[in-house]
Amino acid sequence: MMDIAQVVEDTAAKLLEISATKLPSKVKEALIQDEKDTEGSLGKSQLKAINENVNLAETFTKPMCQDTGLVSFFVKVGDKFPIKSEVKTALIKATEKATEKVPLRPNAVDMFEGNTKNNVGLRGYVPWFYFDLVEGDKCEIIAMPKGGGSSNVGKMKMVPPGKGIKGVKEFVVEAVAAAGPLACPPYTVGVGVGGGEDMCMNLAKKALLRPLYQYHEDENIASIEKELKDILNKLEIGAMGLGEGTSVFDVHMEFAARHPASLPVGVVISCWALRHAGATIDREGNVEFHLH
Amino acid sequence: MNSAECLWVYEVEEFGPLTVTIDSHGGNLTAESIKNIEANKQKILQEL
Repeated sequence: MMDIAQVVEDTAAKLLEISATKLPSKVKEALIQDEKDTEGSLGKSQLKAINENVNLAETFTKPMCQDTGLVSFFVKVGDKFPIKSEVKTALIKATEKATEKVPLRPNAVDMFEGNTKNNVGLRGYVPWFYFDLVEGDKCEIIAMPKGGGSSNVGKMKMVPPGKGIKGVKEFVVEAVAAAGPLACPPYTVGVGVGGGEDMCMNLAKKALLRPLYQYHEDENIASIEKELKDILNKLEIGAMGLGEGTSVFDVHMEFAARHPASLPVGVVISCWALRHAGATIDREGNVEFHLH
Repeated sequence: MNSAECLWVYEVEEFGPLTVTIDSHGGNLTAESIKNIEANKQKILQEL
């Protein structure tokens, strides 16, 4: 019998390596296309440097950015998957392992004790887990390390519900304009609407996992995503904030039901390095890495 | 200023061309960009 906990650990460590060193193909293609399409030399030179950097990272399996992010995992555990809470332990071990092996920059800082040096928090919250229980006998793991610079421009607002969808759009414009040149554009923008003050931010982050240019299955929401993408590009933020090239590759929105008195809106912004990688493990320990 | 994350000393050949974002004559591309984004934002919000 294969040691399933060990398979989870090894797979998760590999996912952290892939996400730090290799961009999802859609993101890679978008950056290459943007370099071709950008006419101004200021923007073009930034994109050229980004693309060279992406290629070097992939060739040498080294992180594409010095900031390898705060580690989070999105996990779906099937009812019949042999281990449950041990998955969590394995993911923590994987984080320690990948920190040493890839290497990842130690990014977990305790307020009182300082940097833990292994990307694992002292008080049990980092890496952060989004667990979901699902039918079946498999376990899906997605690693998402997110850089501090682009997390610093994330925003949440309790919009007055009377303002409706217009209020949502206004806040997204304000949040991305406030990010401006500060968080390594071209950006991908995740928007979470509804739930509570915490859930909208979770949804916004989750929305970033949807592949670029894949819009919401609800046509109404898809059309708002496309409208916002066009509007946000009129801000003229440009590559690395220099005003030339695409400002926002895509906008992904997720909607939850809301309290009648509340309209929470969360905006989570990713820098050009939109990093994540996933795999599915079956009950026998066979691993299938997701198309990247 | 925050403390630096790291400092490197480089020996380089054929360095550049580079983009100077802040020069010694008061030019600041980041400040200009922020000003432009702010103006565009006002226009977008009016038309929304």
